[in-house]
Amino acid sequence: MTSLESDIAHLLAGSMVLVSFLLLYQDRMFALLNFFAIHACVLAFSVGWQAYLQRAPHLFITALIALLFKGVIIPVALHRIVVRLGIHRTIEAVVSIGPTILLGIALVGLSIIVMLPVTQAEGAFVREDLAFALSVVLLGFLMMITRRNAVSQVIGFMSLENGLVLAATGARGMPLVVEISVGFSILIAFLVVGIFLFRIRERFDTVDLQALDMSRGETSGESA
Amino acid sequence: MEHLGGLIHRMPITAVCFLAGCVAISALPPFNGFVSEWLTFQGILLSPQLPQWIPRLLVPAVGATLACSAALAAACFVKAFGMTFLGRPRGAAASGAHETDRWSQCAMLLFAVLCLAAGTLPGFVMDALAPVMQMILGARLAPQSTQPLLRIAPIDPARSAYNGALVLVMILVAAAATALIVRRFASHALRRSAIWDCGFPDASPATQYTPGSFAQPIRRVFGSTVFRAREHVAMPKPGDPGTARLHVDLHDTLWEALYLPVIRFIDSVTVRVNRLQFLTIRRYLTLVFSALVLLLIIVGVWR
Amino acid sequence: MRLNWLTQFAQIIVVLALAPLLTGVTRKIRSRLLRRRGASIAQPYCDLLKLIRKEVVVAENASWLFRAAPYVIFATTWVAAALVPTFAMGLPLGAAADMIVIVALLGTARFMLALAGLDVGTSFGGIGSSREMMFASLAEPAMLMAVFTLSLFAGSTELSSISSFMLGPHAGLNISLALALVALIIVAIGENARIPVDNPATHLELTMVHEAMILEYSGRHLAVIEAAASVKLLLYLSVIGCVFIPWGTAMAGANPIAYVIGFASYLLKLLLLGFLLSVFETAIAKMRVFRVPDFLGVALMLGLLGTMLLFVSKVPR
Repeated sequence: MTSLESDIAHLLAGSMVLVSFLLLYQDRMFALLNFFAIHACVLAFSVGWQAYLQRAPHLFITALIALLFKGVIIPVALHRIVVRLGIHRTIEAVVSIGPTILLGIALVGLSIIVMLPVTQAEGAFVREDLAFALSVVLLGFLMMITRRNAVSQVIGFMSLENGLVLAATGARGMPLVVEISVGFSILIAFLVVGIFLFRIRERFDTVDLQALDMSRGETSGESA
Repeated sequence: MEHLGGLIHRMPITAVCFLAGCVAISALPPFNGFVSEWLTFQGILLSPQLPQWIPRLLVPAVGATLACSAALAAACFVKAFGMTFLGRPRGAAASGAHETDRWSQCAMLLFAVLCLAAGTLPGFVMDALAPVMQMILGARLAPQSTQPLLRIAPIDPARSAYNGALVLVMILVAAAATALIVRRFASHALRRSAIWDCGFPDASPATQYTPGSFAQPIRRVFGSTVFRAREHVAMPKPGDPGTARLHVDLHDTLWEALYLPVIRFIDSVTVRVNRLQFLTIRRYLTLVFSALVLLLIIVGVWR
Repeated sequence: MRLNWLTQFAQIIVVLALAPLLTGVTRKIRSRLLRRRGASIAQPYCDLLKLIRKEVVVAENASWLFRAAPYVIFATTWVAAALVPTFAMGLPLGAAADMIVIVALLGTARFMLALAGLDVGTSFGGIGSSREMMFASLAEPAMLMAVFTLSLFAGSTELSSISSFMLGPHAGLNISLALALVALIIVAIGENARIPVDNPATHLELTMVHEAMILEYSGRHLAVIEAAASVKLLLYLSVIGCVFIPWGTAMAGANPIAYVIGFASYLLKLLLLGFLLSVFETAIAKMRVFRVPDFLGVALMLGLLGTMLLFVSKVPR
């Protein structure tokens, strides 16, 4: 492939890492959902470009699924859930931004250190793609552990899955059946989480998970 | 610093030397601190050629930390010079200060001149340090005093070069040209007047920024994570003529986590060992006897 | 050789002459976007002339540093601007000082400005100086990380070499370059006291940063400081232009036609960047002071990320 083509592929994969960082930084609900939609769109472009470079037409379907489901349907659905939960005006207490972002950069460095020597045998392009994909996965995880709001944790989980899709396409594509099954399991998980969010809200009047901690039962022998 | 201020009027020579020192420490051209920073950055830019992975990735993080520390040092020394020498005196000691004696002034001036000289003629300093580097590392940079026009080019002139003397000359020429143009075309009138007090008459020197207030933005941005800095304000109720108090709480995490346990351990051990000072004569004899028996056992077993 | 020195001298004059014009153009575009007619683009020149002819009013307890600081600030900023290739590359003085020196010279100017703010001993100067040093503690590392990314990419820290590398065949679309560009833009906005970091037209104490430090200045001193601020804006826009929009700049030792083309393309680049700056300033509101560290921290993070990602691609085979 020409150097311009591989440059564009790098640009798209690097943009995913950048958008993952920007996801860490958001503290308003609607902005978070918009950035997640952008994350999914960049993933769709990246997978689509890979499909063009590798001449693998089934990856186009993966890109279309990513764009449709995660770029449009899920953000719109989450938008409505957020409005019905009434949390769209809250500013979330993100665990202080500075250390979180520094930790994110350390994680990117870690994924570079881990991935690049391990995949010595592969071509240069695959190695860098895998390093970026691992960064996106780790940043998704970081987002899940530094957030208190359940909806933000769901978004972190979804961006983690985006990183997995990026890794899979980088490693010479994955069979379509795997993608469909992964996509369906994500959809089911999302439905279950959505139902649970409403049940939690009904019961405890909040989706702030720290507040839920206070309702944990005492262990035996301590409450007397 | 909380009680000083305005010393630039009372101690002019000291102020100039202190200013030279502050500018040099803050790594600003044309002084010597900047040459060190420049050389370090050139070294950091060579790091992609390192063979090991972890240093190769750690080095840009180190570069960012160095840049951040240079900027924080500049902030620190703006505060140090500004609060001590500029502004209005905050106490009687500051308003009654006087210049020190000639010998001390000469010593300070000598160091200030040396800072400037090392910054503008860095090639000679680098060559003077080269034998030390040869001894420690077994390698040295190319000779710098032979570079044309007093510049330094540690790696390759096509890659990067710094000419401290030329930078100093350029700054002086630019400042002189500006001053000349302004003298020629501007009005020379100057009038002394009271400071702008925004309509509040009789502003006492206590309304100036104190060192603590100067550091407050940086303390709030960096200190709240690194030093767990917290500010507590105790305001009296309306109608209560008592004073308001501001209390800043700082914890040096490294000191408390690393050094304090070691200090406490040493303290407890020394307290226990201190009991040896107060034994009776029979106990001292027992100590000597048991030491002797122990040594004989060791000799016996070892054989 | 003679032509190179002539070009350098012309460049030194050009940056001085064009700086107030750039300020006038950005103000005019901003006024137009706000549906006002705005002052003419030559207004900054008239402002400088007016200030030069006025009497200087100095506080009773101002020291020699207060009176000398404007000249030091202007001299260092002017020298830094003279080192940036604007319409031609390969300037002879560029061989003496590279991008790190430019950043550090701007640091010297900021140091003296902060001291001048503290000199008179009022709380306005204190507010300005403390906030300015807080912004600088994040903006300077961010700028240096962007400089690192560019130097690692081009193999040299000199601006002329970086600029000619970007014109060459090896430079492509690279994520690190994009990150360095965004970091440079954020630093340029922060360092030039533009919205969203600081309002260049305000005189309310709680919103001033740059204006608070120069509050006590008047007459010719204020003219010199305002000129220095214009030259600083020109410097940042020239750096962004010569690195990221390098087409049109005359190569070293080209014929005079190339220089004329270079000058015309430089004017176009300044116009474009000034326009984008004005649009951005009009579209966004000023941030609270303690959200600016987050904003500048993003620039530092992007610069660091750009440097690290560049390390990824420079993997030895």
